[in-house]
Amino acid sequence: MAKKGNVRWIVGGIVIAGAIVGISFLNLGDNLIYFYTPSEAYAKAAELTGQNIKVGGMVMPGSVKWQAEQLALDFVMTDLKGHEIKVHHNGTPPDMFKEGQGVVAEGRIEDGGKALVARSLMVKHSEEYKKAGGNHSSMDKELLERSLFKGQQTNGK
Amino acid sequence: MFSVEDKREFYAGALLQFLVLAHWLGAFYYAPVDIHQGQVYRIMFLHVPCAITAFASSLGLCIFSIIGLRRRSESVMAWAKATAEVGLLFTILTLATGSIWGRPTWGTWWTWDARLTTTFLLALLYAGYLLLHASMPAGPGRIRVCAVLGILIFADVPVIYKSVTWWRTLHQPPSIIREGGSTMDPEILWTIVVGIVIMCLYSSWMVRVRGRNILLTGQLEAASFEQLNG
Repeated sequence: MAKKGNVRWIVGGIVIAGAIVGISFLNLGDNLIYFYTPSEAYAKAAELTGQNIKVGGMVMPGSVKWQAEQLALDFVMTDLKGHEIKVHHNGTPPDMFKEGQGVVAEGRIEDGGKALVARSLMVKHSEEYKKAGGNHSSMDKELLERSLFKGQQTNGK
Repeated sequence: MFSVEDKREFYAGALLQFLVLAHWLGAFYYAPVDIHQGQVYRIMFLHVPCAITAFASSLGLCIFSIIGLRRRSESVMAWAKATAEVGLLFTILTLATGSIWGRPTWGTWWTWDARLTTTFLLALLYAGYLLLHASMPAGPGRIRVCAVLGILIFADVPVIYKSVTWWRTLHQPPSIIREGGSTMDPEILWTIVVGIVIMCLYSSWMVRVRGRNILLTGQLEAASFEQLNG
């Protein structure tokens, strides 16, 4: 009987912990930021410097330098509105990484928000699924932009 | 040996298994290659139907819980438990297929963004429901507690669905139902819609088989108890 009582406490604990996670998540609302945009990283550079944060943006076309022997990747992340961050990453980029693609880099922000040393690199792709040679024009870039910089005005200071 | 109902259930199951396999053939041979992701995107035809089924199970659990609570009915709660089991299975399948899809496309197996975290929470809630159910003796107390939790679990589903719209996430926003129409080419859209319908039917069949199984177990236990004490 004592054992049954224990199980009940454990179960109750799990359920309550789950509920707390859920509720705290709901309460965070607009403050819940999975990654910063480049302009937010600029604005908050002073308080974010040296911290491990995530910044998301687009890979600027023509900026990617990949040195396979050194496993060194350099590129510029942009929000297409003049906020640019030089990203350095030691490691192979994900398969879908390319110029004009969405990217989320996690690492230390430096140089007033203008440089980032990335520990990890993730690709953020759009919600578009298309066959080759279809008659619909691709909205890939527009969709990506909308999704990447969502809620920037309300969240950015 | 077999009742008419057993046979009907068997043939319905066989037909649904066949439909699932036929849909997989469609996912591999009818749906075209995606220009952005190549072949790897085809796991979506499993991932999305599993996710919708996990959501639908939560709605089913909520409805059974409301009815069970009003009627104080042990048998309705057996159906609720069957739905929760199927829901947990499909939530785990959603997380697993999503993880397998995320590795080649995003470059990571897992990340704590809003969509992934709230889906993980759904798995925890289903598991919590089943643990709670297993740890309590049958009776009005269990009906009340499990029904309340069963109703509450459904609150997570709109949050999961809206997570990619409310917050900035790594997970992409909805492709099927959205303002301005679907962002999928028609062949891809149809393959996924048919997949969702088949998976929902298949999971309903699973709930039916499992629900009957739970009710029969209860009857057997009651009969053997009577025999022992009779």
